[in-house]
Amino acid sequence: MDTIQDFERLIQNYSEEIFVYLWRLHYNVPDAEDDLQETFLRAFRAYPRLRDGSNPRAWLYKIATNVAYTHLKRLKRSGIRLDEIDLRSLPTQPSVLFQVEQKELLSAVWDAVQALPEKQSAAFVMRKYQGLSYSEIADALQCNPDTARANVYQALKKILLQFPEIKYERDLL
Amino acid sequence: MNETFSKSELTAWLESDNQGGELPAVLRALDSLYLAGPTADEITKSQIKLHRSVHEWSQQVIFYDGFSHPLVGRIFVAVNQRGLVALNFGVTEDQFLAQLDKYDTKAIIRSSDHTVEVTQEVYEYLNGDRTQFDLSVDLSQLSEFQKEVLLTTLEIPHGQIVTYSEIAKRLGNPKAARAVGQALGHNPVPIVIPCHRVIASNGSLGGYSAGSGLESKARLLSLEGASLV
Repeated sequence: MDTIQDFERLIQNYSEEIFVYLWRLHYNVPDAEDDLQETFLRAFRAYPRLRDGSNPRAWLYKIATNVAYTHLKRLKRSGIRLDEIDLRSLPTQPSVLFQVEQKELLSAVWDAVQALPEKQSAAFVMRKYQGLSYSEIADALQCNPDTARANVYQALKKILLQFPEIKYERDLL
Repeated sequence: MNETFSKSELTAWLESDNQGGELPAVLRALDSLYLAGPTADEITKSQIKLHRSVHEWSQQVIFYDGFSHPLVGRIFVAVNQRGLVALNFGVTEDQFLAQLDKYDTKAIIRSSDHTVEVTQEVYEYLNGDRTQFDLSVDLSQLSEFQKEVLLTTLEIPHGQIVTYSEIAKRLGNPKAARAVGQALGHNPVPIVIPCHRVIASNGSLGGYSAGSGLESKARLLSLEGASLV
């Protein structure tokens, strides 16, 4: 069962980070789990046609991004309010105190990200929080690396524009 | 919250996976939101569930492959976990794949590794080096009647010819010759289940739907040295 063994190796290597990515897009476990299954089922079906030399990580992100945004659209929940979600953070991250004190800011930032076009929010999360390179993001979003980079910077710029009290150099892009 | 920060600060934050120092509140808020994730326990559970699914999916895969032989041209075979599910020739790869659509399957994968037993035996048969097949065949998709017809047909030895009504008789239903013909017309694994060995009572070849039809049927019978009355 060579093909299936290869596929299991793919799961071994990437399913955990894909799950975290999906969780970050949904901010809940059941939806992230559903999309993880759907992502890998689609991958399983298409795997034999994955060309040698293509980047399997970027390929999985491409599928996961499609699955998650289709799901979000279906749930009409892309506008989910932060109050509805349970905030947790990794031990190394900004303190729980910060989260409590800055609840309003968090909520506004969350809304700013949700308001972004899909490609920009996906590119931003992939770059900053999933650690993908621009060429991987380009593969995942089926664009060129320059466009991938522009999407990431557009996202950040649009988020910052929601906070006019914050001054930054206008030539960010 | 009156902060000014420079392009280089923003770029540094964006381009580094780990940023120390005092960050502007908006960026700290972004980090706080997006460095959060599922718990280790939730990750483990999702992995176990995924592995279980993949195991299930892999039980529902159809592997197929094709090769060419001068006698029949391009020939394709498909197997699942239980055995051979389809064989056809005189069709394109796409037509063969379309034929596999009706099977309950998670994936259809071209693989010579998983089909080598079948292709090997069929190749030997077409070369005249094999007179019977040692393969499992999965007929679970078919009706009871079709299965019975095909299993009865499977017993006709290499080089022998039997009529549709003889098969009907062996099934205990001597009037069912026409139904037998129809069932054989939908044989999913011709050659391996030798429907070419079944002909009409009047000595004509009857029908054959694989390959080039009756021409292929005649060619297979002559390969087997069968003598037509």
